[in-house]
Amino acid sequence: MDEWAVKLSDVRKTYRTGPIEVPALRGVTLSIAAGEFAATAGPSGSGKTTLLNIIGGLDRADNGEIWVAGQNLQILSSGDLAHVRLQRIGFVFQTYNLLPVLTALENAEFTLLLQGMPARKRRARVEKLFSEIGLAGLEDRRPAELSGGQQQRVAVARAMVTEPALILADEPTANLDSASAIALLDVMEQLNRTTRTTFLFSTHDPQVMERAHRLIRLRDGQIVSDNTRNSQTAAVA
Amino acid sequence: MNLGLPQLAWRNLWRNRRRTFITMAAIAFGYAMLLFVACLMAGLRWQMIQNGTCLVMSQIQVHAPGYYPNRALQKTLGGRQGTDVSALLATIASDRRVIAVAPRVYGYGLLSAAHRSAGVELMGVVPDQEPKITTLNKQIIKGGYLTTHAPKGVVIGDKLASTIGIGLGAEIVLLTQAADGSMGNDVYTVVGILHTGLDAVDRGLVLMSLTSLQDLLHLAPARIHEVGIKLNHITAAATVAAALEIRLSKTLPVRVKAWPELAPELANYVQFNQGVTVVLFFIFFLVAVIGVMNTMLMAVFERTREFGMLMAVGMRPAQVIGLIMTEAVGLAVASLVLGAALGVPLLWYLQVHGLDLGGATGEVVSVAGVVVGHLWYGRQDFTAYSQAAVGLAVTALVSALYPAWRAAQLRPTEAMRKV
Repeated sequence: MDEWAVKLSDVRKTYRTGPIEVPALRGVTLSIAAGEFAATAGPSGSGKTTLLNIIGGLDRADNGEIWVAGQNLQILSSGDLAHVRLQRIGFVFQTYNLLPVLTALENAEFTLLLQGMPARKRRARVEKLFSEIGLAGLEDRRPAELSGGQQQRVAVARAMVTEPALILADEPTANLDSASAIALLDVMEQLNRTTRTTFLFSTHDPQVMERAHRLIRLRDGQIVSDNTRNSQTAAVA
Repeated sequence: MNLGLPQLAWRNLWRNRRRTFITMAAIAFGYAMLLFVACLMAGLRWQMIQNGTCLVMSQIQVHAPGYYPNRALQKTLGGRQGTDVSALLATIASDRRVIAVAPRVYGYGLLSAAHRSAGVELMGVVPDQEPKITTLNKQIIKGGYLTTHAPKGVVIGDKLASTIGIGLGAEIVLLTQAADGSMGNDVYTVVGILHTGLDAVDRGLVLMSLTSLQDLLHLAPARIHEVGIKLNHITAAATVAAALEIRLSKTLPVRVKAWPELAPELANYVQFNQGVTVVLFFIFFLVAVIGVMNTMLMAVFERTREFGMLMAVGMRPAQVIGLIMTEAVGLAVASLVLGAALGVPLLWYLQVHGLDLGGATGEVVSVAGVVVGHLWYGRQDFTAYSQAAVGLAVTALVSALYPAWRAAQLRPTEAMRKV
């Protein structure tokens, strides 16, 4: 495993709508070690989602270097970025984004299908993961037959099943009640502990901020604080 | 069932069941109508070719060079010496594609009875051979057909009989210029009256035995004007005619003509009929393009956010295109199956019962100078059915290209922001 799951250097991003320029990231430098359980927080417009999109290869920065799982994303083509996303990064979205026509198991195995893994192997891997995160018995249910918390756990399974180096979770608890949010965080923290997969959240949720081992606060596209929970060390980038 | 993109595509199709079903129903109905039209058009072509060739003409004719179309009396096969008719017929019949042959003699003359007369075309046939290549013997409405036992018997059309004012058993005089320049004339008895629906035949044809006409025209038995041929597959007529001409010309100067050359207006109509079928196909495909494109575009618009997610988790644009194209093919195939299920009973009905075109009047219907009959039967045209099916599948693919391309152009971050 690489020492750094994510390494950013002076990353800048400005959105342009006609003559109006909106700077979203203004020189972000950040390193996240492999196996970290970190969160970015900040008010709306602070640049959290933009940061996650750039780290996830969904968007490109205007300037700076972005290294994820040993890959320099800035020099990759769109096709190569798609490959990195499929092989090395897992995504968990605020609104779950499960395919309504697929069962829970099929949704979770979908990324493995894209990877070209044989059906039997896919099923075995998903079933094992489901039993680890409390979804056993729900394999054949469609998303509409699952609670929000269960759907989000299926989304976590979809992200985790490819055994990525990094999971990016954009407001994963925003649509969940408090109990479901705690249960989901338990699952993700457990996976982080057992698999050493790096987790990076963007969140408004105090529960997530409390559970994160490292909290990176953003404001106006810049990191204003970077605290690690145990040491409570502040490191402003 | 194991998950794969085809399974995902199929399930996606049924997300909006009503829309998919309406699109499918429209395409299926259109396909069933195409089958219906193709079947009817093929039936019409077949009936016209069959009736046009089997009523009087025959599918292939063998003549002496220069005989057709003027039908000069002197230009018999083999010239003034004639030919060994039996050997010629045997040679032609030895072709495995030929199922029957019959010799013919033609002349023109004046038919007189009592105080009336009319110009007629005389056709001499062998009574027991001609029915193998034409159906004149089945058009008799009064009396009977020619027999070898009554060589002076003739069959005439009902309109001719009416014009002259004669009926069965009437004695008529035929007057003609014979081959040797003399006048040929004799007395004959009307043994049968026929009705074909073709005015030229019903009003002007006198059918008699080959030997009687040869006697009247002072032609030796070796002198005939024509050999009519029937094939096992009429579609091979031009090919067989060309082959026969090469083969027969080695011993006898001949011209062998297939029905498209003998009846160009019929051949033109057949081509026109096929052209109309093709135009109808294209109209249907155009409608299908609009239907499929509308459905697929709506599906893409509705699932913009989902496509964004799929691309975010690593689905490549080519896979997005593949997914949408698979959905379009699924829609087309399901529509085809439904259309075939709707169309097969129609095709069966058309083939077995036909459409009664003259039901109200009982009149015989003719198209382009060829009798069709008041019942219009369908005929299975599997080539047209498969062309329609393949065309529909291709149409569906082409229709889905634009929606698929649009989906593949989506940027995941923007697509996922769509509500």
